[in-house]
Amino acid sequence: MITALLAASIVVAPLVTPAAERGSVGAVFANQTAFSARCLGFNTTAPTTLAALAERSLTALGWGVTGALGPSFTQRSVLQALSTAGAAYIYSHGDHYWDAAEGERSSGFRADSGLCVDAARVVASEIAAARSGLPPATLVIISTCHNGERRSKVPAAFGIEKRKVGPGEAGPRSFYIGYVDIAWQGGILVFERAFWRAVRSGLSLGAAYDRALLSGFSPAMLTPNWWGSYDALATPPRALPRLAPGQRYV
Amino acid sequence: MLLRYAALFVDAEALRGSIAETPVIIDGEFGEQLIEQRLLLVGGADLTMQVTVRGTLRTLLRSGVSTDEISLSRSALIAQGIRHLAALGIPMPAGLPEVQDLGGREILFWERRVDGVRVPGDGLRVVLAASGELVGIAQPAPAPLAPAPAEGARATRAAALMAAALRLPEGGNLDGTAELAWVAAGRAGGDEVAETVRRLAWVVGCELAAGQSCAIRLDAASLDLLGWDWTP
Repeated sequence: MITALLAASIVVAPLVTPAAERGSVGAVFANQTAFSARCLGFNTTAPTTLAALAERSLTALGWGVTGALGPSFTQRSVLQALSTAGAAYIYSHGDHYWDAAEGERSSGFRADSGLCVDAARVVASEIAAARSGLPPATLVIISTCHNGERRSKVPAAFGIEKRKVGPGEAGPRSFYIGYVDIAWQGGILVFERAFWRAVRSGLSLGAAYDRALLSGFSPAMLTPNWWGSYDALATPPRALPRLAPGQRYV
Repeated sequence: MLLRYAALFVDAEALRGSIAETPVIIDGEFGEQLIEQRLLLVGGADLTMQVTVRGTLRTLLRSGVSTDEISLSRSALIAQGIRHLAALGIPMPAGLPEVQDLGGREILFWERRVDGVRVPGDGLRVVLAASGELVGIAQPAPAPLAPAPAEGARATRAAALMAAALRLPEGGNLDGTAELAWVAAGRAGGDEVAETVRRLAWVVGCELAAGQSCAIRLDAASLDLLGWDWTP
């Protein structure tokens, strides 16, 4: 499956998912161009490795996977995919960017678009608009700097409240992971490998997060954070209908 | 052994009626064989343990530990961590650990040092809930190290900075930091670890043209490029 994802920096079809599949598709997008040897000045295999890990894991958990690795990860393609996705993995630059439409700072990440620098930003308000009427996402990993900070607006854009619902407590079937401050690449690789391995072994998302904290990254180089329900599982939920404007999932 | 550990952290109520899964053999780091066993507790939580064939505990993970954010002070967390180590019969490493909050969990990390030089990411870690309750312990097999170059064969800090400056991509800058550390070489001199054996290296801090932080890893003797780390 990942060979399909990696081939020819695809935009994975179909970006308009059949109604029956809504909520059971995972979106995997990784910025490759800005992190290529041409742009960084040294070799990196991280985008390919991390996207493959996410794609393979989501597939093993029963998700259909759509997404893009490289230049076809554009603002348009990612928003289209996120407009139906029940799970999302994004690997790119991330920050609290100026949101001109909202007239305030928002949070988000950069698309790839084949550019070393200044690729289009995808901010929380755009994600929220694309996902209008959708139930909260099941699993979201924003593998960028800064989007694990309390001020990040990205969790809310996926319908995930920034609180930790502990084990045994009733809560939404959602889980969000992001990193606080800057995140070093070496740490991301170690942490995410351990996280996905634990998820695939059947642990709840909270327990998988705890397991990944035991992996061999330097805590000084990576500060992961999460919100959602500790007991949430990573498998796709039963398909839920998209709501009409004004209606909401509670 | 699993039940013995479980009895330290789980009340009798949850232990009664728990189910121990059949142990399985898994591959640990550096080719080490590990025995993994999971204990399913009444109420849905579980406890997973990995031990070596000689019985050394490598990891212990309790699922279902409360995420309440009642924080203890740093010193109280360290005291709790030491208490858990003692209960498990794990010798306490020298020195005080780094303590860091990672998403509501507190990590106590005794990073391994060899002759005063860090082995990044290697060492004993104890993960606690904010209340001090044990979440997990990892006592990994120590990463193998290549022989250190003799003192006289080691490049100076100044030489390392100069060599790193020559490796900088266009528009990049050194940030003036350089420290010795035991690191693994990256694949094709890049950022993904390709070797298990770590070598003594100069790790030189830098900044890329786009403003991202980076680190150049150079062999401590030859100053050959070993790899990179960076922030996306």
